[in-house]
Amino acid sequence: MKTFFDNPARIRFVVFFALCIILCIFSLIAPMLVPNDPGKADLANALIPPSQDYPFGTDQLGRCLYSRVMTGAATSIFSAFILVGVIFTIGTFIGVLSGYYGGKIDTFFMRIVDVLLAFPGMVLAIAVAGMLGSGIVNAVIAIALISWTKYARLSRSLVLSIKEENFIHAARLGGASSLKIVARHVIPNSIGPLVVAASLDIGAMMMQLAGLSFLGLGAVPPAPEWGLMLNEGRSMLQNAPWLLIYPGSAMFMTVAIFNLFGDSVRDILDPKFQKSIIKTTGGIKNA
Amino acid sequence: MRAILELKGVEKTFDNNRKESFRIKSLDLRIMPGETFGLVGESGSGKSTIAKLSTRLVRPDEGKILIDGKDIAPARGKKLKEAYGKVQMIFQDSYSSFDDRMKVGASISETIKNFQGYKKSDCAKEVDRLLERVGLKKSHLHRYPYELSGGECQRAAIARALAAKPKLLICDEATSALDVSVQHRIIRLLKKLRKEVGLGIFFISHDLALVSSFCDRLGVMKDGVMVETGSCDEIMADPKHPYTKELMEASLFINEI
Repeated sequence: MKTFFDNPARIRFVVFFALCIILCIFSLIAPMLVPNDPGKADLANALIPPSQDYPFGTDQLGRCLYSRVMTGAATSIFSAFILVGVIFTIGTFIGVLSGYYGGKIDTFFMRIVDVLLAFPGMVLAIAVAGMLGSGIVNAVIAIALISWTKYARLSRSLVLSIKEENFIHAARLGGASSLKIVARHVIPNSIGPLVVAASLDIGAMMMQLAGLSFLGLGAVPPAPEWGLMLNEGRSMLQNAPWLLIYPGSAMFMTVAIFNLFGDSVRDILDPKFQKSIIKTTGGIKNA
Repeated sequence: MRAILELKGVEKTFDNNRKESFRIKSLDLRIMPGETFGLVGESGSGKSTIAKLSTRLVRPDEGKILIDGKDIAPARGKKLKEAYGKVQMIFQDSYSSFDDRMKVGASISETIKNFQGYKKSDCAKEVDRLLERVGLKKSHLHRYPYELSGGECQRAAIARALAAKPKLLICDEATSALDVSVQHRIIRLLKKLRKEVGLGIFFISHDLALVSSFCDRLGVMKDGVMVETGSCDEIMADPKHPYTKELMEASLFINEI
């Protein structure tokens, strides 16, 4: 195992991966750990500053902010995971299809992509979410509809460069069907940059979802969701800054951890780094 | 006797930018079963394109490509696979012809599975047999392509091509990237295969001396046109086309040094 941790990029990856896992586990068990019921309104105790009973204070309806921030973590993290999973799968599927088969399929999908890219993304998401109505599922659908294009374009360009490689020709000569070539050779060889894009996207998608919720198009009250909580606390900034500080910091920390995780994934999947692995394991071409 | 590979009036134009378009003009070629045909010509004369056309990795604009009498120019899917069971090809850069993510053994058994439909245990036996045939050890099976030497990798490529039990092996500059001693061993291997399994060889190279040393017939290409074909001895003794003469002089000149 000594060689594995020789490279600082790998250490970073392990650390941030562990942090992400801890965050996910924590968000799942948070509802069992919180001191108060996150949904229970108690107007007698509204807008109490952080204290012993309420570590993060209470909001306008007297709900425990600490409990709400903690239970809200799962919504933000897992809806971002689902969103990235959906756009990654759909985008890659469409990109591989149009890159590999080309022709009319390619033209069809790429013109759709062009059209979608011609709109400012968030505005389009707002329009779609507005039509679908609010709700976290609808917010995921709205953002997914505009964000798959990135993966489609990336995977298409990767497939275009790989499909003219000799080993694809050799696989075809070896009697492999198109489906087999795509599944066994094209996708495994192009998945690296896509995984990097996906891991870098988790944080960004979390922000977008929170953004929609902040605008009232995502999570519906009384759900504890960070973007929504920021919106609810917005008018109280001067009297009760804790309403913004705590959900905001939670958001900031989570997004930062996932972004750093994304960066570390990029570092270890970087082609330059992979070459150095080949060298250290002594597998240099000695032709 | 029916030719194993026949190109009839094949044309192909590459028009990447308008100034320089490359063209294969109305090309005819016949290779009989068990025959060794050598194709020589300078870089850019269209040799590799001929190889790719013969295996339909490149689609011709015009003409017919007959493999064992069946035209594969419009073929797809199963028909193409059937043709690949008869004609196989190895590439100049053998490393690039293997998927870096797969062990050499896995690449070879993929071809066996596709063509012979063997079970796992039979497949492993067949891989061993093929490796022995091309002079590789069993231990090479569990290595990645970049862990092999150039000669070993080209042998593995030959083993993979043989897995389809072809009647004709197209060698597209297969020895050009290897140093001379390794080159000789690969040629010896090809000669052995020719003798043992009656494998036909379509040998494409820029090295006239090498080609003439072991081919039955010879074709000379220049600028997308086959300028001369005939039996090897005939051409070597009495080249008709000025370009063939030039090529011969060049290779003699190098030998003299």
